[in-house]
Amino acid sequence: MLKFNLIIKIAAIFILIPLLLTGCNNLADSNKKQSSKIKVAYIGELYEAPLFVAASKNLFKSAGLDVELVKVDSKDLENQLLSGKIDAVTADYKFFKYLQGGLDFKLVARIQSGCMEVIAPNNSSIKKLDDLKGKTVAVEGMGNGPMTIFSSIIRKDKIDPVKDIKWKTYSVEQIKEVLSKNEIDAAVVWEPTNTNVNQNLKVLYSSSKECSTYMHFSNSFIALNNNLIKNEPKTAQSLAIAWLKTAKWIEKNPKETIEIALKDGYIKGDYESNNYILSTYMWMPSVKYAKENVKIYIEEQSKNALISNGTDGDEFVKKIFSNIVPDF
Amino acid sequence: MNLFFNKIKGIIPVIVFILIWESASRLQLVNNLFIPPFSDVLLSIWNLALSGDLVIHIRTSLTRAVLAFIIAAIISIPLGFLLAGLNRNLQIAIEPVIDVFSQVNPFVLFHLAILILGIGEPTKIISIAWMCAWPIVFSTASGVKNVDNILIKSARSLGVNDFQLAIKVLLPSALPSIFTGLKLSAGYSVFMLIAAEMMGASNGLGWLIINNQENYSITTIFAAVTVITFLGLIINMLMEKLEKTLIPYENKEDINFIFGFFKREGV
Repeated sequence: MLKFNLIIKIAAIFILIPLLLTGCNNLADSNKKQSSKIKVAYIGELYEAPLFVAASKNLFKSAGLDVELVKVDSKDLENQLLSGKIDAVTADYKFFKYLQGGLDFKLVARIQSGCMEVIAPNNSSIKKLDDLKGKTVAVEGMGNGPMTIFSSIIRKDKIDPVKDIKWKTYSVEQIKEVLSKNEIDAAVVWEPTNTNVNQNLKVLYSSSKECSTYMHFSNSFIALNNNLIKNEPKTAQSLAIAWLKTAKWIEKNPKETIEIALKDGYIKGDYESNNYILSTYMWMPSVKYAKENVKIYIEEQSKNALISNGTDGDEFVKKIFSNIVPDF
Repeated sequence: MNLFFNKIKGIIPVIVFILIWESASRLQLVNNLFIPPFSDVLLSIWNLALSGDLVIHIRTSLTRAVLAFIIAAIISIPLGFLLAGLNRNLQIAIEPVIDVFSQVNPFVLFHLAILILGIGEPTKIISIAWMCAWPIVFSTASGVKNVDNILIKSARSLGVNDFQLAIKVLLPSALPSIFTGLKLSAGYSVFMLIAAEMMGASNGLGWLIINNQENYSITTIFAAVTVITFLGLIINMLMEKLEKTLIPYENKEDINFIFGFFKREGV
């Protein structure tokens, strides 16, 4: 009987203390406060799809957020972000240079990742990664995910990615073309889910086949203005969570995602070309892997002189990440 | 004043804990994005209750736990008697098997059970029952082994057979020990239930945690954890009440009580 009374008392305390501390009104609407308008920049790439879907399906609104998507030219992105008018943006490998330049944004989590593959013409004499020493290798962007993974791997095989590889940048479509014409020796690209290897191409290396740090390598991240994080941490967290939840939705609904992005004019191109790009994306939100992968990005970009030489990966990661999303 | 203090002293640590939790979160002494104030957790429980979801999850979880616990008790108590040497040949036969089986991790068993039974209710119930079974088996065996020899000899001299001895002498004498196992198992049933629901379920309190983890609903995770804690507390309380009802002689002169029992039963 004594035990029963004790439990009743504990239950009463559980109810009464918070009421006394916070007041009933506070209890009733503590999570419903509407924050001011949040401006999220986008440049019109498919890796920003969670923003398009969340806006189109009112997912931000459901999370109690008033979000406005602001179209920004990719060349003007850094300036727009520096102006302080933008609260959030999808960050990619180019972002680390902006952050090192003093941009007061913080990374929160990765939203999307992928696996890398090294492809070469089928008739090429190149059979393994070692054979690429002194050769021309194409990438979509200097310092991007595939290049970072590739550089990190060949460095272990005593090949210097700066001195021993001649880099060229092309778009995905151009890469296929220059490979078929043997204008380059190999290309390092994101691997599509349904492999793009046709009869003219062979895969020299695929990170998806190896259980390593490079598997499911982070490609894009949620970046939030530090002022938003400092002044409205709850809003910043709600925004990031709504963003991540939408990314998970995209993983299950790729077709609808492309249709929304095309219909609402967020991206260019046709369904097929975007479907190919989307097939290289894996929507796997994570904080832990974001930090691990950013460290590799920083170290490789630093060695490749894309950011300041000698940048300490660990220190940089500590500086640019904000822990507002739990790493479940 | 002294009487009042005696009445409330048991709940003072709880009050202090809640006050620290609430204050630390509100004053941002801890990251309140990850540790929400207790009042927010309470609101979340309230909302879950209002939506009707909480009752459904509690009912589902309790059904699994209770069913598994009953199955474990039905199997384990007789097994404990056998292990204690009620029948020497059977004891020799089952002892090594029980020793080996008791070492099988229920979490591993869960995945093996999925292969055979699929990911439905039987898998979860078997895994929980497996976890619950061993404390009952061993505490029953220990209780039976420690029954006073005088009692057994006296009963034998009165001409009881093995079955009568087990039911009318060993069981009442070993009941306090059996209940120790039952209470442990009741706690384990909730423990394993949550784990099983986290590994493969589409409802229940364990699922509620995993589902809200995937949706980054931190406050609801805390709400589910609070509900589970309360559930554990209530189950423990019920077991203690049951123990006091069934074993009123626990703190009395056992032998006198049991001999009185013999007389009533006419052994």
